[in-house]
Amino acid sequence: MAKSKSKSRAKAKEDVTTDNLGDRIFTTAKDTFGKQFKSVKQFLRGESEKLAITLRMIIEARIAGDVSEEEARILLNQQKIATSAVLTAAEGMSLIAVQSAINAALNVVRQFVNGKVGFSLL
Amino acid sequence: MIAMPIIGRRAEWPRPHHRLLVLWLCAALLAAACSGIELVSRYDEATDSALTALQQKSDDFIESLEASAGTSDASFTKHEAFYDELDRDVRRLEFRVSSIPNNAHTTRLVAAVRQVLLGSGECSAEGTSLRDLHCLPANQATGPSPTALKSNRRNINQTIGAALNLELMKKQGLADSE
Repeated sequence: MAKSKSKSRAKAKEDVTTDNLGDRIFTTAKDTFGKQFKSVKQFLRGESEKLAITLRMIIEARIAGDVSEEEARILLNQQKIATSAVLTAAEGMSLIAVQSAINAALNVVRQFVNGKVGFSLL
Repeated sequence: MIAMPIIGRRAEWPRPHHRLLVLWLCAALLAAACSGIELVSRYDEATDSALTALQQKSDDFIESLEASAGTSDASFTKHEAFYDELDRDVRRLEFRVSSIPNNAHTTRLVAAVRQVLLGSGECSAEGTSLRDLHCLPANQATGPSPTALKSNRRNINQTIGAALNLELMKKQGLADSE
């Protein structure tokens, strides 16, 4: 899998021309971002389900009298922090996706651009 | 001038919004210069290890507390040393993550880890942590109820897990951009 990815990247690097420069940047960035963003979506979906389970558990335990009012309050406060942590992580992951997309695009055109200008611009 | 049919327009490449994206990417690439851009810090193995250790330590502790719930073995005073140790571990991690540039998200996540494990450090009925749950007046002698501990454990694992997921995504992101 990793081998085929690096193969196609190497091929993309070879195929760069002045005419398709924008196209190469766009497709590399789009592919990398798409893959990463899929991971963010999967993470957010999985974690949302876990949060719902915990919330349901607090409600049921309070109704059954298995937790005191004070315990339920602390657990709910804690749950809010866990939720915000999941969203903070998802926000960070989205930034990583953007960063990876730009850097992957940069890698694909680096050799071509540097060769054309005659020095290490990128 | 004859207007182009819609089908013809659809076949155009790049489309107007794609051109904008390409322009934006070109500008970003120029700004990135030779080293690429860094919006989020690189993967840090020490952060990964410290978060994993914290998760294991707190999980083991909650498991043993759950097993002894309702007895004097689960009293708060018997476990105060554990909370002090946890405080020290979290403080070290806070120092580590705050000293890494572009690490705002992980720093916020470690602050959340502190909140769910130790809270503000004062026993509060309006608190947010395992420690707050343990030092409630009704729980000091024999510990929190097993049900409360189960739910608490999930919240803690979820919070530490979010921080770990982000750290591992940094590693993956780095590999994808190479």
